[in-house]
Amino acid sequence: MGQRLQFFMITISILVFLAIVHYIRKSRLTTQMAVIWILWSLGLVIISIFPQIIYSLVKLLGITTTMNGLFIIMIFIVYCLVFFLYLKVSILETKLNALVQEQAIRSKEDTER
Amino acid sequence: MSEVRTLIIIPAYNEQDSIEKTVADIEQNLPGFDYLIVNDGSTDRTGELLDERGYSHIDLPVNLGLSGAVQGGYKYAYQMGYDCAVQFDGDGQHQARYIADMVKEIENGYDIVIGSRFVNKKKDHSLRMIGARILTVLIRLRTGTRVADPTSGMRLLNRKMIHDYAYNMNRQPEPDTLAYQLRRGAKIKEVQVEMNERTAGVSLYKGLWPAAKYMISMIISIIFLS
Repeated sequence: MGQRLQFFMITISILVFLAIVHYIRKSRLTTQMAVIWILWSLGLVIISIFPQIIYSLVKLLGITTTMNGLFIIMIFIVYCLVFFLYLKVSILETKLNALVQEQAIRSKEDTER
Repeated sequence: MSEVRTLIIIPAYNEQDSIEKTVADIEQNLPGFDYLIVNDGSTDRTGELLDERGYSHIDLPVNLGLSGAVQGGYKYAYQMGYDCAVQFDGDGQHQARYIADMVKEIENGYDIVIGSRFVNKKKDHSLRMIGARILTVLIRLRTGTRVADPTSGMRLLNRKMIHDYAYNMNRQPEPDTLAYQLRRGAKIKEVQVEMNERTAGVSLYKGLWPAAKYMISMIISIIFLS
């Protein structure tokens, strides 16, 4: 990795980290979600300071170009995050349905009493 | 009985086997105190049991988990004008006889009073207690205050804190919230209590992976978010 790219990566990852902490402090993100994002952004900071981690990981996986390896790893992580979000949204949807139905039933009970 | 109006909040998720014992304990040891059972969408007979016995309770239509259930209790406490409210687990771990002493500390001006197992006792060397030690050290580093038993679920809040816990995001009843409050100037007092072994139900953090996840999330939350 070129020195300019590394400098750029470190700056961006630190900014991302600060932004995440800022949004959590303003109560826009729950702790559970925040923990994932903080781990993720700390990971970014670490690999931009020590890109050797990526080099050896890429070698281990048998990928010839470092950049391709980086893309694969990043896409995989994003993939996992999206799946986690799908899980969350599904649970939310189910709970919202249950809540609305329950509320409707209770208000009918109330008017009949 | 003191002048301070206290609400005992009992979160209950599938506690059909222990909830009667818990209420009996409160009625025997704290006559005149109000309690509210928050039935957190139980799938066993807890809900019917509460209706049959005529216990004071609210039923959550969906399962929110411990944080959501306790927060519901705090909302009720705030809206009903209680001066303080304590979280009291429905699984038989907590003992009602200590609550009166805890209320006295609220009268002395503390914001949060913790029913603590370790004020004058030492923690053992189980994995669980090593985790609790780590949290104690972290909270001390972040806030300068020693909280001997940060994972205790038995917390009594004054009215200011009730409002905060009831209406703000990220106020789960966990150690990281204590660190957050301490950094904002809350005064916390610990009162020595004894706790029973669980008579029913299982810990939320049973198993290695859930426990590890809990610790990671607490550590990150205390370091970066408090």
